[in-house]
Amino acid sequence: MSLPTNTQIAPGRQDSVPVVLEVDDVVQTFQVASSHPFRKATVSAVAGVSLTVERGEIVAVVGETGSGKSTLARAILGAEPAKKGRIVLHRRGGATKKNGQAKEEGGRGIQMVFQDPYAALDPRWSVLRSVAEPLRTAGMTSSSERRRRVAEILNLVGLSAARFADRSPRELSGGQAQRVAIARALVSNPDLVLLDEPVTALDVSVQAQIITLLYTLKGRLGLTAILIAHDLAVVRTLADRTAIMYLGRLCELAPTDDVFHRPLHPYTAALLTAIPPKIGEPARERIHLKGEQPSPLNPPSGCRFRTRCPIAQDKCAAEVPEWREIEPGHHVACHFPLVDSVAVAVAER
Amino acid sequence: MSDQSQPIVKPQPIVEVEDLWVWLRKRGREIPLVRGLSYTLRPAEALSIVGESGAGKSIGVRAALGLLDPRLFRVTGSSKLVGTDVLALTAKERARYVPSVAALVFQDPGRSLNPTMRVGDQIAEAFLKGSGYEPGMTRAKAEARALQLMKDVRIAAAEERFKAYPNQLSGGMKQRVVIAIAVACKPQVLFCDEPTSSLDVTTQAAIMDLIGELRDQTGIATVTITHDLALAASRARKVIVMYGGQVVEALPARLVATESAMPYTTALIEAVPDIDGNGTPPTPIEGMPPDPANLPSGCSFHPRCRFAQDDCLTNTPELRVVAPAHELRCFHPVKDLELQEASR
Repeated sequence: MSLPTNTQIAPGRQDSVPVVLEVDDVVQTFQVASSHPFRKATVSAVAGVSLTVERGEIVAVVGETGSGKSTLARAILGAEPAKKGRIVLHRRGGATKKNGQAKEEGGRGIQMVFQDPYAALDPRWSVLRSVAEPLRTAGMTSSSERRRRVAEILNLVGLSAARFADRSPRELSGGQAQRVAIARALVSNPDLVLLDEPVTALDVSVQAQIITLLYTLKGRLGLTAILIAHDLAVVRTLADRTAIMYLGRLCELAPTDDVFHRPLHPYTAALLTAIPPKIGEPARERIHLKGEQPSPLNPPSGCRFRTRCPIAQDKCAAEVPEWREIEPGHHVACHFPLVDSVAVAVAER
Repeated sequence: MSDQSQPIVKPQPIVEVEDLWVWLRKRGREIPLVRGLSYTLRPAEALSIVGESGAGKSIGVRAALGLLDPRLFRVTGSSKLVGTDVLALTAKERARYVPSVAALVFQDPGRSLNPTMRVGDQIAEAFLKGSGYEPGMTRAKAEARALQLMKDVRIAAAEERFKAYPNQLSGGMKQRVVIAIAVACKPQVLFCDEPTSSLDVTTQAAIMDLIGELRDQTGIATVTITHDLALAASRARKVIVMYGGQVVEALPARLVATESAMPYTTALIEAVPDIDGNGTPPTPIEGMPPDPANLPSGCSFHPRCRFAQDDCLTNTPELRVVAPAHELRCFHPVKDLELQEASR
């Protein structure tokens, strides 16, 4: 196995770029106890999400607590297979895996980086053993070969193998532990990496180190990843495309620049204005959302965002907004998208 | 007009922390966690204390409120809340006095609330058993006040939510309940320890709005601890930056962008990803915060400082005033270096 340098792809979205992951109309529901003693209630966690990830691309999924972004990630990983819909992973070399087969094959093909690196690493295992584990499950039997590969990957994430290979996780700082977790995710050369809030648990200065590392890896390896985050600033730096999720549905999916400069969904616009202003700049003109996110046990009819939307109309309660491509590559699910005139009005308000 | 005709009367400070030191007692050693923290706060003022984990922000606030266990920590210096030094009080006096003047809101609202009690009752308890108690208080009166407080902190459908248990509320709602309990006893200062770090971005903005409204309406002073310099600069009037248990820079919030001169502060600004930029990565601060048990010689920040020179390793910088309301602990502030470069 060699470093995945063969996957280097020129930036830009050409038709020739192969699709790595297809997520098509995925639905995930859970049965939970309800207040009624003999009935179960259904949580609609993900309600029809479609997206694709191309090779060498980082797609961010942004949403607040309860938006279903982590449930979607778990469905993609196959940890909890989706109830409906299609998830297809096109592996390098032509193999294709459908709905959750990734799990049966020991997770090869997809690797994950979690929010809390200390919880993700076995406290009794050395760094070497943790990082080498995916190679063992992938069938690399020679320990010297594994050791060489681990040294290579540790070096890539900025840790010296000589100093760190024999340490245990508690001898690592938060930033170092997250680097180890990233090394473990990359060591088996996966087709797709799921980054679930990779910097949320870290301090500001360390956050910047990990963001910079991921940015470098993206350039050097052509990292293909889904980045789950609630922090828009992280997304801005790393993601090629960004999807905004609310209560189990995608609101908007577009190249990251477009999401930030020309949001079309009112929820995206409100999220952007809630970010604290850049240091030294005046407060943003805020779009205030009404009330709170409704319960996924009983989601609103029609558009799920309508109960909080500042521009909701009768149509929004009656019809589920269609997922449309308004501009090339810019998808939105809204009856009244903020096309330029509206966006300007909102921005000036 | 002569000087004596109309002297400007500044309101009495509510908080005066003076040369506060905190040591952790560990295996016969004393490890300094806070080293000489001082600040003053007047009514309706908003102060933010910024720093990374282990900078001493939280422990400094707990020490100032007399909350640290004396078996584990040694605290020196003084912390006057509305004129009374709480560190000079006995534990019993302190338990009576501090809640009447100050309140503390924690990061995780779920853990601050009693999961087995309805939230309305938890707020009403402040009037029945807490320091909000007044002679003639009845359960009905306390509940009416609690309901009013829930409305004051903008909890929608307050009558309904009054009977809810904490697990039936969202994180933002729970934090509003915690704030309602905190302000129930009409404290004069509200300390918030990372009040929004566990909340989503839109909820964070709403909670910070609420704290600001309370300040404007009631004249309560607020001290917000955060690791987010952008949040601090946008929401506070004065910002204190802590590193390795010390204040390294203190300045008015509106000047953070233009006037900050301690290399750590400027590095923190550069470490925040630029949301309005074109997607270039932030500049990380290499290395790690210092271990309080094993502090570097000289300036605590010198091992990570881009501008460190020989004297930073050997001499310890003092906090000095460089401009009105602007203090700095650095031998080679960024501004001086820029001037030197410009003159070359």
